[in-house]
Amino acid sequence: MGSLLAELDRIRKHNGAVRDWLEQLPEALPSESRLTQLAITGRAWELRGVGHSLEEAARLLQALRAMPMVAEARIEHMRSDAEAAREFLLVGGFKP
Amino acid sequence: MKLLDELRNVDPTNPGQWSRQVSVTLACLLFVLVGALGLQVRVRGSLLPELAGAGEQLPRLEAQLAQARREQRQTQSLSAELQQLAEQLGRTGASLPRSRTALNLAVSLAQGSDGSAVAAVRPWQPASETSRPLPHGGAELRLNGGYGEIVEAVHGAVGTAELRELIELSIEPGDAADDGAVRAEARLLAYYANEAHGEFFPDAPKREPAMAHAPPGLGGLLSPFAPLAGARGEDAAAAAVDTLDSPPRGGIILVGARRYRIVDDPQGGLLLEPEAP
Repeated sequence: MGSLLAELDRIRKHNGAVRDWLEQLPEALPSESRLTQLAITGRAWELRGVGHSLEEAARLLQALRAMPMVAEARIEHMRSDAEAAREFLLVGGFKP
Repeated sequence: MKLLDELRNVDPTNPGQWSRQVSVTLACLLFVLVGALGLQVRVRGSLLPELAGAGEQLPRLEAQLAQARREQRQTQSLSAELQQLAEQLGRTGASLPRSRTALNLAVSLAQGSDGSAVAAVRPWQPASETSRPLPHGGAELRLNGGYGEIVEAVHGAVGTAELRELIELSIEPGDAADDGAVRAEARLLAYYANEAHGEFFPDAPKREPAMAHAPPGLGGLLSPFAPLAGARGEDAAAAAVDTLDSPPRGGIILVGARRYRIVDDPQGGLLLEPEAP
């Protein structure tokens, strides 16, 4: 039964972490950026988006790393299209 | 003294001349001697080995007794721990259905999805099965609406008293890129009690709580998927509030390629009504 309690705790923490993260995400996103895809699989998350400059992706990464439920966050991919929006792909994970 | 004198003067070669007193005394002595000899033989032949065997068994029996006492203490300790854990489980407020299939779960979710952003529900099983401590069934939700509505509906689905885990979630901008609406797919697992755990949990409620009422206050979240120029801020917030007033879109369950609408039957149960093609 101890393992069941631990499992109960793990699942509720995970659900709560995802919920808090989804709630805080709009505030963390710089005003000149927007997301094009959000994906969560287990404890891993992935954010694709576009912005007017690459600095915005860096600011978003900083904001994500400051979130208490985030264990890690990194820039997986960035692409600069001439005069168009810059695409970014950030990946990370929730704390266990 | 007379007897002693007679015994001293007795003629061993002529027992016929012995007095009655001497004969009885000698017979008694002979009987006692034979009895003592027999007892000696019995003690040496049978009782002494038994005693020796019992002496050898004594340490083993003492060890068994000590082991039994240790196990009794462990049982008492485990019993107290079990009671404590049961109380902790009770305080969590969790409830687990005794058994349920993925289809039951999908029906239950679809039933509670009216008025939420859930557009459809279907049974789902994870592709790669990892070891999980409890029996489980899965469901996939398709959602359309504002970002806040999506978050609210997803957590309405997993945030019930039942033990449910959000496994996958993906959100993308909707088809109409300007209105800030998004579409999402969420996959969740619901866990059921097995025989060992069932007695510690109350029966899960038979009816799904309405998702639209689950975690309040998220519908007004700004969408991080809103268009870049000018659609966020007051316009986006107003759009999100507008979507809250939109008519219910949920209550559909997909089984294979067929679509069913979940309706209440007159007996208080649920019916799946096939939707017209």
